[in-house]
Amino acid sequence: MAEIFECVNLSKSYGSRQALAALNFSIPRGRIVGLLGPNGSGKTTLLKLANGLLTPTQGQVLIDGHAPGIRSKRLVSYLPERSALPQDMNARQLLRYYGEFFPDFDEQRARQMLQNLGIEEKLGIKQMSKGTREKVQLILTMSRDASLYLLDEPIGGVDPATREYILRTIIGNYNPDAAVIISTHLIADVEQILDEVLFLRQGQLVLQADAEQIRETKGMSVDALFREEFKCLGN
Amino acid sequence: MFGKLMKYELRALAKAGIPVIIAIAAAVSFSTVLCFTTSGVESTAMQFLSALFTLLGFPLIGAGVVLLIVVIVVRFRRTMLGDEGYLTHTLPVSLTALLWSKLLSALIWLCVVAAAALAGVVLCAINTSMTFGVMSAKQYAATLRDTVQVLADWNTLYYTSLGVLVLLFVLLQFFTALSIGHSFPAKKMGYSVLFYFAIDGTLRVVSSLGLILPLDLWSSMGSDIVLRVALPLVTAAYSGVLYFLTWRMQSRHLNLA
Repeated sequence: MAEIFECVNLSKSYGSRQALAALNFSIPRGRIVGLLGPNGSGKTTLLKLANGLLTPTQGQVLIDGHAPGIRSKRLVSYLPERSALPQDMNARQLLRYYGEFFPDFDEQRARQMLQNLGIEEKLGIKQMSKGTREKVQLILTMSRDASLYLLDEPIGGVDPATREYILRTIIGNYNPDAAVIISTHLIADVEQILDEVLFLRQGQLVLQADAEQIRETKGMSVDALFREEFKCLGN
Repeated sequence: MFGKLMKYELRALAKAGIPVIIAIAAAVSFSTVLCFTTSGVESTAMQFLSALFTLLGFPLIGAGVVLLIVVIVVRFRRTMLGDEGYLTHTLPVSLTALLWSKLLSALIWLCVVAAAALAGVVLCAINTSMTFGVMSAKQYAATLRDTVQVLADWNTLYYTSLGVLVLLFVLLQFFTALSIGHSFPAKKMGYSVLFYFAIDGTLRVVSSLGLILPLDLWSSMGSDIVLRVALPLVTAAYSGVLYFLTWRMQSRHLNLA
């Protein structure tokens, strides 16, 4: 299987603090991967590096063999942790904006999802609630036929109903030729959709394993394993 | 893609640029109507009122240009260094295209507003001279024609080009300071202000040394050459350095919140 995402000796430091330490792993197409770790473990930093929003201190991150740049940005659909939607636009203008900049954007699919959620296209981003903004951002992200979806905390800070909708959207728009990386610390909610998990601890990769295999060999859920793994850290 | 970026930038800045132009047009129209209605009227109070409103037009026009610069700088911060930066920097376009689309669209709107402001200032000046009895209402059209003739020469073109270059430099000074300030993990705006003044101070010192040290050279060249050649070259060189710093900070030290 072709690797869509690869970290080669990837390190990132903020001054004297090391956020990521010599990560080496790859992710093939067709997988939904959970990037799991407690707060401050380096999940967001890794996704920012993959999007070219940060520069590695050492090593490199490759998207389908390309370093972050124009070519990789065409392949990646990124959902940041924060609301990045232009404040001076409404939903309709945003659909047009995405359509113009991302050739793989399916405007019809996005329009349908907005309709399903009862979000008016005329509604300005400023007038939307935090939850609605997050839904719109996810719709825009998942309406692209990208090769790699990088979702940073897509279910953090939303109500359970929205959480369920988000997970349904991820599954519903899943493309077998693409890979999805979901960064979160709310494992119980996402476990059901994960094929593979990566555990990050203080910037180091402590585990890369198949989710089903964990359940079979360890006899516990990914969530339980995570709790056990990171409980030791606290003690 | 650059064309698309330009389209969205021009459209976003139009939300500030168009009201400013309307405000300038309204101020000038009001001043002109007032001058014509009070022309030949003996009432001192009316003449005082007319003069007051005409003179108020000048700061209003200046405020319009300053307001547009503020809108441009705030938008740059929001879309390149704030939360919207997550979308801006993940568009499949180069950083060079992003920066130039910001700079060119800002320059286009500033030139349009500056042209409207210049026309406003000229009309207000003519109105003022009419209010104070320097000329009559009958001479209005002729004065306006003469003014246009005086302005329509190569000097105006030269100073306009220099003005555009200076505007580019002014914008880049803000963009550079913001880009450096926002590379810090905290107190980003504080550092931005600090670096704005640090850049300003450094450029003033460098310019002063450049003027003082080779004084004999400048004297031998004559003030005209200095003004026409050295000034644009120095402004262009400073702009080039500031552009490089902005590009470098955003490509290597981007630090979105």
